[in-house]
Amino acid sequence: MKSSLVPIFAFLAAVPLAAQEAVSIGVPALNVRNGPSPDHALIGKVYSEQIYVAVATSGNWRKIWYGQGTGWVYTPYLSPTNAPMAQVTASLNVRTGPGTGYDVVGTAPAGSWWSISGSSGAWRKIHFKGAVRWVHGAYLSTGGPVAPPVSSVGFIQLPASGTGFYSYSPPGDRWGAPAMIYGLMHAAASWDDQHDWPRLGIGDISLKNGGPMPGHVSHKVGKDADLFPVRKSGEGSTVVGSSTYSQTRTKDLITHHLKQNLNVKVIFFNDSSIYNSLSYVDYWPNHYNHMHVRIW
Amino acid sequence: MRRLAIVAIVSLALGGTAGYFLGRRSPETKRQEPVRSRVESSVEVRQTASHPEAEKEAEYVGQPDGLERLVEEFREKAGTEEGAPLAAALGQVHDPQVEKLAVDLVRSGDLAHQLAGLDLLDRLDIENPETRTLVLETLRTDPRPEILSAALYALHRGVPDPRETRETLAVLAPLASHSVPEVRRRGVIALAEWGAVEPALTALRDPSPDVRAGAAFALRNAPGAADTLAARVADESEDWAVREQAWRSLARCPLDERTYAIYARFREKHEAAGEAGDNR
Repeated sequence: MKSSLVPIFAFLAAVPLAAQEAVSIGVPALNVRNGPSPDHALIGKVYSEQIYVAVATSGNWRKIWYGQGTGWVYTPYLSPTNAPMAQVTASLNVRTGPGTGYDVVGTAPAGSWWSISGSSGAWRKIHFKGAVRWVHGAYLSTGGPVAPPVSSVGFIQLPASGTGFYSYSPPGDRWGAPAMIYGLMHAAASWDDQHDWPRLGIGDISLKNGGPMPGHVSHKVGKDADLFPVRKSGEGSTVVGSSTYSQTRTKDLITHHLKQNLNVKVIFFNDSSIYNSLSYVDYWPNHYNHMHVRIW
Repeated sequence: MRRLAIVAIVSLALGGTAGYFLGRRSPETKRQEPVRSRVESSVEVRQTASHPEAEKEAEYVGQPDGLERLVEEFREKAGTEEGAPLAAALGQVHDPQVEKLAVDLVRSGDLAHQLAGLDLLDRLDIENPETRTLVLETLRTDPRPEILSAALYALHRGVPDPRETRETLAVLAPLASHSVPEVRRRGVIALAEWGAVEPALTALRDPSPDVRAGAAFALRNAPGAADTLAARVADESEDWAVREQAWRSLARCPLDERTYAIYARFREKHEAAGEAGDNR
């Protein structure tokens, strides 16, 4: 009982720093814990010469921004440094490299602090969960004000068919944001340009004015669309694992046509070979016979 | 997802002729698939997407008169919520019975039936002078914006016969200045598909951002529009959706250094816009 109270007491005694402080890691590897004592759980490691931002102290422990949250490290192994720091102004993608073509490996929360250790164009290098990562500089406190995209354009309807696509949904369920509808039409036209393969089957998007759509949890804001995976031959439905399903064509559709023409945030589709190789494709229950594309 | 099951099952039910038409777009798709794989696919889809409507549609499976029954059922239910999934299935069957059904519905005079018929023609996308004449006549004479909007989607570009193109453009031209923005939007896109991009260039100055975004999209195959598109992209006061569509169309144009610089600047903004927010 006594041993479990010690870390709790120590945690409560944490004192925010008057100002954030960049700290460099002075040992080859340093444990990161979820509280200010060795009794707290290990949540990761940071490594020699990486720089993080400390925001609070408790005894011999410093609280640093580590990943999507904070962690505690032992102060004697840290060295203060004058490295530049910046605060994240909006929940921000963390990528493996300086560009949107690189994988998203996490999210830096709004309000979190990071040390900037390099730049490449508009991108800034940070240390995140023990690794070198990149974030877009527009959403850092050092990046100047960023005006969010503003649009008053309403939903539009996807035609029932067009170059490279057909819809298997009724007219009332084919409405969406212009970025979705025009993006799907661009993707289908590019599919048609590049392949002599069957048309894409596009399903439900949203109702005319958005809101809950029967049979769907999402599809409320015009930024979600269902598509058939691609068959080896012929148009129509198929399912992962079926003899009619073409993994090659489906992956081509995702990487070369959907990703290139839509502002893809995530695609839910349960082909493990695809979701294990593409950072923006995830598993989600029941997505074997259709893929769900969500845009930002 | 329920519609996946319906389309799969009805397709299976319609049998060989329908199977041929399901794959009409590509030579390779015209080969008949082995029955076993089609059954297998249908069963798997049903297992992962069960829905009461799918069970109802199962009555068509294996019936030699499946198409006739489906056509008759849709004739009764066209324009209703119950009829909507049937349209999705019928829309993949290129058969004179289905085409006649669509034409009959368009000529019915009843708004819901007419909309269902135009939607079916849009799905069928058949190059047929009779249906094209019907759609053009509808566009020329019907005053109702919802009918005009549906007819604009039902009018697909066929073989570019010069006389036919002139006739079509003559019917479409007034719609680019229709009082209803959605008719204007669809009108300028249709005109551009038939080769007339000037109305889309004009529509980039339309008071409605919906129309301007549509015009920007319509110019995706207009290489001569680069300067005009670049001006829309560069305009910081323009609606984001308009700038985004202009930017995507600009990407397909040959660019000089000035227009490329505009393209690249917006690409940075666009990239930044996608990085923030709730990412999953």
